[in-house]
Amino acid sequence: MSRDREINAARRGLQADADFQPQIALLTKTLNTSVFCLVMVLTANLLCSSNLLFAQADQATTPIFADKKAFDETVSPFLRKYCADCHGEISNESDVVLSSISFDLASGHDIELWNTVLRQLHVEEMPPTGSDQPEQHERDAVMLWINAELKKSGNVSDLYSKLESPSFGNYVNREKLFSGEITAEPFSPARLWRTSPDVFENVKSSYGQVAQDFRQPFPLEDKVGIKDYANLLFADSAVVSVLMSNAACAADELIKHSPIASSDISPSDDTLASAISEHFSKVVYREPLQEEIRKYSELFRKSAKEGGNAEAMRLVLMAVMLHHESVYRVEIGLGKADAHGRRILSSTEMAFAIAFALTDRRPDAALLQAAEAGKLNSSTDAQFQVARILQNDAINKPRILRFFQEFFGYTRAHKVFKDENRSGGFAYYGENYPAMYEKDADFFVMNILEKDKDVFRQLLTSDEYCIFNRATFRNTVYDFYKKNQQQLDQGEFPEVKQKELLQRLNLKGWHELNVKYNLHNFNKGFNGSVAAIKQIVQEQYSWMDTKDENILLHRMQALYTKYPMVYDLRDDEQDFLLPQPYKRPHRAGMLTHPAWLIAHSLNDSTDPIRRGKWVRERLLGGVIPDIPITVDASIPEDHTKTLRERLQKTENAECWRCHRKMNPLGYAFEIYDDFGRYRTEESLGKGDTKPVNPKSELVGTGEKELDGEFKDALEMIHRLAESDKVRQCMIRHVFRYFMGRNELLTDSKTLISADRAYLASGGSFNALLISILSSDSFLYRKVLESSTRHSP
Amino acid sequence: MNFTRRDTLKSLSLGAGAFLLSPFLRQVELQAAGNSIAIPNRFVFVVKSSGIIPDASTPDAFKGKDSSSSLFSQDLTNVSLPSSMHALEPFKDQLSIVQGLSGKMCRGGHSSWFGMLGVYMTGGEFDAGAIIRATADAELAKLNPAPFNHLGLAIRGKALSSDYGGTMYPGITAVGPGQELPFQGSPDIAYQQLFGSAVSSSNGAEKRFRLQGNLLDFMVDDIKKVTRAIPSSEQGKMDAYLNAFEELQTRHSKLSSMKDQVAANAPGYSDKFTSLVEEVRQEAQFDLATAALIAGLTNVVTIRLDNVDMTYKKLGIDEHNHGIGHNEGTKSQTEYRDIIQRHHSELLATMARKLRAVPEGDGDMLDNTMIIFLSDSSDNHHGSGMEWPYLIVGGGGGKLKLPGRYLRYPKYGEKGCRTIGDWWTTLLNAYGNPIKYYGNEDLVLKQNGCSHAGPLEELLV
Repeated sequence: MSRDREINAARRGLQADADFQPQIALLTKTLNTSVFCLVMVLTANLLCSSNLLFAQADQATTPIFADKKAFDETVSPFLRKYCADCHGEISNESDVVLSSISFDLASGHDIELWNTVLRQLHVEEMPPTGSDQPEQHERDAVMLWINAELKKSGNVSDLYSKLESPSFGNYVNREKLFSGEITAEPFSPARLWRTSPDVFENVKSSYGQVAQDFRQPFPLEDKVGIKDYANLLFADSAVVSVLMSNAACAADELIKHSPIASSDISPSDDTLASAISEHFSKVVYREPLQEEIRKYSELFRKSAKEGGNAEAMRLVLMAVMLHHESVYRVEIGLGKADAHGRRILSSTEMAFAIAFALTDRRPDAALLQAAEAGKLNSSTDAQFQVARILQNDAINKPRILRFFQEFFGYTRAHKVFKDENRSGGFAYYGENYPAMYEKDADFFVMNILEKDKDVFRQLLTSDEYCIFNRATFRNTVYDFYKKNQQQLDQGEFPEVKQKELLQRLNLKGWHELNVKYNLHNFNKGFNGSVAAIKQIVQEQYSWMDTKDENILLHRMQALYTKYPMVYDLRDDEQDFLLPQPYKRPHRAGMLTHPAWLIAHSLNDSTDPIRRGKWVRERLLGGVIPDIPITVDASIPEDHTKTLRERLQKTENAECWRCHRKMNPLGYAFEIYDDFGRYRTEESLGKGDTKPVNPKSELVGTGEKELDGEFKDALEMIHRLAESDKVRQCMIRHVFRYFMGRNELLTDSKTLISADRAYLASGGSFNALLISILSSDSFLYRKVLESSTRHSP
Repeated sequence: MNFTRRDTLKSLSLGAGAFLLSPFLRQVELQAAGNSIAIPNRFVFVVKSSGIIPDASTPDAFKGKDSSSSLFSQDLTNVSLPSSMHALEPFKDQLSIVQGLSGKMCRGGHSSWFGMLGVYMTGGEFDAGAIIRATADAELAKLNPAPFNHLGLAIRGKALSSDYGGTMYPGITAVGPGQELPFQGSPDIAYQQLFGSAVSSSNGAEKRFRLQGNLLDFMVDDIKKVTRAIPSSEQGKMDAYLNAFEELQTRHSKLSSMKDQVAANAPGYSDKFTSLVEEVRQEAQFDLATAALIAGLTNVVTIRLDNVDMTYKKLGIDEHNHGIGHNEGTKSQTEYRDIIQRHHSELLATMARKLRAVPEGDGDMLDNTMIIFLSDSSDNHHGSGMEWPYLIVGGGGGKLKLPGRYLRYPKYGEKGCRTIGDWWTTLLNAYGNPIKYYGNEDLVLKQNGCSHAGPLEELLV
């Protein structure tokens, strides 16, 4: 290593020191020529001192940055006492050897290994149950050291952000959560929550025409599971750059209509203040404070002097649009404090919290009025408002369906590419097939929610699917037209006939849901009128491009011919629209719905691992570590074996530790192929087939009724649907989605009440929502010292 | 435990702030060290999808000549390049082909996401996964600051998505843990962002640009005041918002001071920048990248060149990259790939030619630039990570023994085999970051007694 690089090394060491950064930042921020010299001097000093330090380090032959003393005194003895038996040079279990781990983490040695140690200690997976356990303070000391050294190395463990992420929610112990032993009063941390993309879409519409050019500033990462968590989302430079261009775009339009901007005369203070107020309350949804008006006025006056009224007004409008409250929802608890160190949300905060929880929109008039009238200060008030919104069909509540989409994950189906040739025409043009099944699944969910009885069990076990093939809809209408052609062509169409058609189409289930919940654009407006019928007939002619009556009545437009196959239907079974919902054999709820099965499959095969993982995590509340970085996660090719047989590779000891949690559950779904079709034989390629083996078992759930063998997915699902544990796990997910965070042990009371409310109401999802959205967890805030955040 | 979320946030936001504020400090350092020339090192990362097939970028003269167990290092300047790389013939003295470095610590398949430049396993088929560290391009950007520390330009977004235009997150570049850097997918918007401060001749636009400083000052001041009322555990979120405006503030003042320079180097505006034709969009993004480098607006650019959803229709190709990777379509995969490689070589050559035309120091700008052509799915449509081919154009400021060489490292698992972690370590070391090893180690290699972690010493000058 050259001398030059050594100096650089020392310099970097100093720069990486977090405590040092702010001073530099302060200095450089206010930099001008006079402080330039100061910085020069300071920097020169730094260079000298760092060289000095480096020289000393050379003499001591140990790098200066690693805290070796603490390693020798605390960490090393800990490793020897609790880890060495299994992770020594000889007994290198799971290929993890800690006997030779380097203390010099600060210089980047063994970063991976130390990260592994940190995680194992934090989640208390190691030392394993049954062996000697360290005291909490011993664990803490070692974790403290690892974190400090890791930071020096310029890295940061992803553990802590992960623990607050949706995929780590299950790390909080379920037995404790629902035991009733926890008496703490629930709360959410005082927080800011970034505006969601859907809220932005709705806000956008209030800007009128110009909003067409707006871009989405608040994208959510496209990941599996619940996406919108308060602690994961920041408004960073990418967000700001989009906000800036949106604001500029809107301001350009607004100043065209501003009397101040179109005048050369300086406006009076009052005129200016009222213009600011008007814009402010439209954008920020409250009246500006006097102080705020003063600041915006100041910005106007200063800029008007330099650039005239129009440019100044433009800046003020932009500044208001960039107000932090349009970027972050502020939920810090501005209401009364209580004896437990919590504050209840102020009535305005509560109005926003309830509105955003259900509607993707800012509070409606009723909520704002309640807030203003002092009728939004308690759990009872919240209950009243939530119930009001839930009961009012005129209020669109897209957040509810979105929960089920994110929880089940079936809306990913269209992203799994399926080979067109292999499926015999599973086309990916226009509206692709999996996307149609996703819609069907939406209807399946809403059909169950509409009844609002025994919701979770129904979602897991109902065999009544909504199977809506557009082509068969057209065929049905066309058939009706042919039979009544004379009357229809003459415009004689009595109401009774119209009813007959609607009945025959049996749109009751489908169409009403569609209109009510805005699920599908297809024929939402179809009302059985002469004009509506003729439009369909025209479509039929143009899509089918023939006058052959047989084809017009009994064939399907190419795009839809393969649609029925995933429901195990033959084409001739569904010339005409099927009664909705339609019972299917060999099916039980969402997990056997084609949309879910496709979403949890690979391009050309099923995916027992992902399916099993889903059941383990979402229904059983289990925890599965990330795939170890040394694993070669490929499935061996072998055209004589079924996928399950090929996956035997994962059953060797080191893989099985995690795979036992997933594979047995996933194998149950082998009665469906990767398109979601029921099967008893698996095709192996080259025309060979072999019987599938869906038999498996559940072990170690801690519940007698759950454990044991099952013959296939259907038996497994029916058993799961009866379990308290599964129900509570689903409720935990509802909690996470609507709270925007993982549950803590302190949320125990909220979860227990929610569970009771659900049971007492006979499985009503609405009752569950009312309970959660009026709970202390939802309504109370506590300012947290971050250090207490992870320790229950 | 006293390492808290707050600390994490603090260090994150500080990281972002420091990213911006370090440039000046570094200039000061350089001057303090008596380095008066201070020509920046420039880097362009061109990221294609669907892998780079090593054999297709190997000169015939070297095919089958390498040994699997030792480094095969040859002079490239006297051999012919594969015909699909013909456009690069005039730049052979500044060209290097590096093959055989493995990246098994990254995800295989359609995309390694941040792994390609961050050296770790992340993401799934559709999501890019967690970000555990700054990627190598962002690390190099920190060392070579400019008004736009890192410029991300994209023709397409995530590997398998049909995302198109506007701000995009392709999942390949990050400035720190959890902090993905945005890419601009619309050349016309990128044009405005890069050159808008200087090229508009109207008086109004100039005035407007000047006044924007007032708005930024206002926002910075306002957010600072509000932040005091926010619970400390949540201040990181406000800090992120504040940093964003401070970044704009700094950029604003820099751009104001370099107006003439920006105006002189801005590409002429044409319908190229609003074209919907993929190949034209590529050209437009290359033009912007080149002009931004020459104007001194940035020193590090990452271009997301295509993705597997894209089809090279203008090149006469009737199949999207995904289909090509799966041997679909009317031509063979090799034929398709040849056509595309020829086109990519032309894009690289055009950029090299423009940089060569700009004198700098004793030579030209190409001497101080490294254009690194690579793929997020390493060596194939479903990358195996067994090797990760790089094609490099430019002299890189003479800091590495690369220009004019063909290098092939020993096969994965053989004695002396090396990884992409070692490669990025080498680059970071050569350009001022003394990190001992960058990225995750390949633990399988390590367990098998092939300890690799460290720079490729043979490349260091």
